[in-house]
Amino acid sequence: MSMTSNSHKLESLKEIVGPQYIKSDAETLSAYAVDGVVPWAVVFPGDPQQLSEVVQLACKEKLALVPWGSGSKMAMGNLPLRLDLVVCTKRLSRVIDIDTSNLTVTLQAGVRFKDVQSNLGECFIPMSPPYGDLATLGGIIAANSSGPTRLLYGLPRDIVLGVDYVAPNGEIVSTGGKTVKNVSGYDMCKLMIGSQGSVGIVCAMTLRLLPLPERLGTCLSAFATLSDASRFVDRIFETSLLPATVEIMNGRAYELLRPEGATGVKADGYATAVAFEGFHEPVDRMASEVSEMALESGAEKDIYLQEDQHLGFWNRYSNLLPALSKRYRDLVSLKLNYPISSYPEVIQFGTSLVSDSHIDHALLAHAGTGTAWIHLLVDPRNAKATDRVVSVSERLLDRCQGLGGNLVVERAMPELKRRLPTWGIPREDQIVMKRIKQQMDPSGLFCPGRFVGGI
Amino acid sequence: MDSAELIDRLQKIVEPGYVLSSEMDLALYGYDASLERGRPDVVVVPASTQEVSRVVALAYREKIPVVARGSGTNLSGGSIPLKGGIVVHFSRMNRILEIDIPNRTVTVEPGLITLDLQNRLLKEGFVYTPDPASQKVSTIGGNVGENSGGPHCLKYGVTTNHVLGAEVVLYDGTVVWTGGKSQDNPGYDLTGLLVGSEGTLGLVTKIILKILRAPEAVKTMLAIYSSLEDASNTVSAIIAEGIIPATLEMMDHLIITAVEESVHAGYPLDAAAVLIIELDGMSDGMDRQAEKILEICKRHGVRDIQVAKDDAARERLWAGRKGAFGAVARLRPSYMVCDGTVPRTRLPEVLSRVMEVGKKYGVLIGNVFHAGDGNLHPLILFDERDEGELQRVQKAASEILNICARVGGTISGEHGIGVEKIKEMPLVFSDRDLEAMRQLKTAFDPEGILNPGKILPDPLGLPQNL
Repeated sequence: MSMTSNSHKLESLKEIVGPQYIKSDAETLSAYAVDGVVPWAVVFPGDPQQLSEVVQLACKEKLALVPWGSGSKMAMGNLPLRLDLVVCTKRLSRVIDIDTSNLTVTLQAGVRFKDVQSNLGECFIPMSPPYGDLATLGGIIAANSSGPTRLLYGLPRDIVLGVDYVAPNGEIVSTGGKTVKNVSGYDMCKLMIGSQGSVGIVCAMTLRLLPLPERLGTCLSAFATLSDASRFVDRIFETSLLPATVEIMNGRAYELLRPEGATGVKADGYATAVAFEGFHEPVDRMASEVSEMALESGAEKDIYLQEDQHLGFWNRYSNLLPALSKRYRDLVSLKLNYPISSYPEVIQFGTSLVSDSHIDHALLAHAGTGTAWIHLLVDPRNAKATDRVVSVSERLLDRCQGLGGNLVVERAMPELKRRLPTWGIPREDQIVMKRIKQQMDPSGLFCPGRFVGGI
Repeated sequence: MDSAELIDRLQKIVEPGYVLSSEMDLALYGYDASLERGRPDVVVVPASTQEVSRVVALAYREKIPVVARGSGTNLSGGSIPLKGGIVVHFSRMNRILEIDIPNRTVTVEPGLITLDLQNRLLKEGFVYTPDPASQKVSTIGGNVGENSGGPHCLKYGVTTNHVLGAEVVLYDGTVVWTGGKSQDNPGYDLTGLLVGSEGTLGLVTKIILKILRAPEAVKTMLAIYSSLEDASNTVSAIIAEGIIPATLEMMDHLIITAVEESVHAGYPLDAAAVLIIELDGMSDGMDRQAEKILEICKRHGVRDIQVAKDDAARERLWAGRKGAFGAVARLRPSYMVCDGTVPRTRLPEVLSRVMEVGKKYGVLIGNVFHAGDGNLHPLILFDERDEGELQRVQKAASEILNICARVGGTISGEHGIGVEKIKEMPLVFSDRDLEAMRQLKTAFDPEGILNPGKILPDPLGLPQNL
């Protein structure tokens, strides 16, 4: 698109957000490229009303746009078919209402998770998303991002009470409300969660809070084999204990996360991280019983992290990806989902497959929820690597699908991503998703082509 | 297509004995637990997804409305065939198809009675936690349609938080699965959109539900108050202390007296209000939590607290609460229950304003509800055969919903919009909000044959006529 044909649009955008909040210099445009596709402007609206007006203009001028929070998860999704504007929500950063008596917080989409979490008094948002130091709440829910404590507290769909979003026609739509019990009309909140900006740009939301737990702790154990580790995990699930997390990770992953001074795990060994949160009596009991179970299952090492050490470990866990992607520019992150009890099979298959392909990898699994990540630490100097990544991804997808699950490529360099099954295999309900997209974004302006099935 | 031909075509899809069209049948399937009435053209009772699919495909071709029906305990008119058409009654599709403990799921047919599922799971040491008071009669399919709640939703969430996937028959008879046993399937959360859609987006023919291991310990307490205000203040205070009980239910004097006559749960007849507070989970620390709750109740003027000593005692306490709606029939033959939800801290104020509305319109109101999540159920008691009284009741109900909306709550916590609350939708949704919902409806049901006349006000602002 020529600069002259865009200059009047730039002027209109300047009128909406102010000239200092629209950038079209080469450096900014490059920093806000989406999968290598460069927009011709990046816009920073200051509030939902400005965001609405920006979208109304986009609607009128048929501009394709992609929303951007702090950019942590922009590598998810297909390459955009076209891109005019990146709309950055970071200035929508107001915390509107903290209502600890009613256990809700209402905030704008650009608020960073880390910033609000430390300001909720005796309460907390029961989420442990990846990119915890960087991510905005808008991006977290748009990507349906979740972390290890989903085992105890659930997913964004269980925590989000209401969402305001800007629809593709530029209007601000309110969904849900402030109350947990709410069946008025359709549950449009559920549509906004995980839809990656394809049918709406989240501008504000209300989330449930919980009272801060009295005590925290994590039991870390090292196992020589997956079989020992899964025997331990299965034992936990046979009891009435209620841990907050049950994580299995390979040696490589543990190496990146273990506390300083703690011995590592053998290269082909596995570590488990079982966390507890709550009143001190159940936490103390779980700490004691779970440690015992670990040793009985053949744990070679077992350490218990309390309070600060516990927080430090899970903070490293949450921020693993930024750390990895700094070291490995060509990092490929695959997220697998499958029925819960298939975790040993998936981990075994994944590990063997990737190892046989001579690719270094960090593997982390939420053993209790049927989700796992395989981060392929691809060496860019290895020309054959990309072919093997494609083959590994396809075979992993095939295995997960056979189990009733799927696979998503959460991160890969754009050229490689073109060859990967970004959203796994679309399922039969794709026909309904297409129709929803058609109804709500008939001109295909929001994130064109990026979502499941290319919608 | 005329009636006789429709019946004939349906008899080729569903066994002839399960196509109902006598005057009596049509009357029997034209009502639910709301005050609305309708009349279907025909009722079918299918045995399989394939039959449902073929019925819907036929209905789509002929542009005939389709209304799914479970047990018809719907409280807002969601099961009423407002515009005639085919009622698809799921009573024969009522099986548990699979219990999968390792994957923490159960797969069921929509006609399964909720309590039957819970009882079956208990044998395995597992629970399905959403427990609407109607669970003895209502079906899982109905619960899914309404996104039903129940007392345990305070801690565990509502139906939608437990539905992992569904097999659904779409507007034209196409059958698809949404979601599945595995979580995190990429794409739009169609399962989440279907739950609570009151039969207007599709007919669910199989449901995959999340199950949990039964809690190790349960402690159920009855807190007895001489003042409604003290009881409602206690509710917020408990949560503010950092305790999320499994349930926090309230009943007022009127309800207590009706329940005692009917169920004999052991509620004291001279109490202004009682709270049923239940803790569940690991046994460790439960006594300390119970002590804390006791202290808080005492700080708010509790007269007495009884702790259920065993399962039988616990059952009796709950029988009273669950039998409350039925028990009020002893007082007046009809009730209109409002289903407004308000932020918990506004409960005391809203309750007193609700009682004022009762006085204003000269109607009897009893309160039995989920105090912990602010979900009120003022039961307005009357005799629907008295035309004048019915009108006053409808005005009172509207005013109550208005109050709830204005303190930052919503107009339906559990019972759905159906027909009954369509006129109140503008209290909580703007035209733009409703337009977004219409787009969703159109995406799922372009011709509008699935349960027409429910949830959404007519876009032209015309009243929904019966």
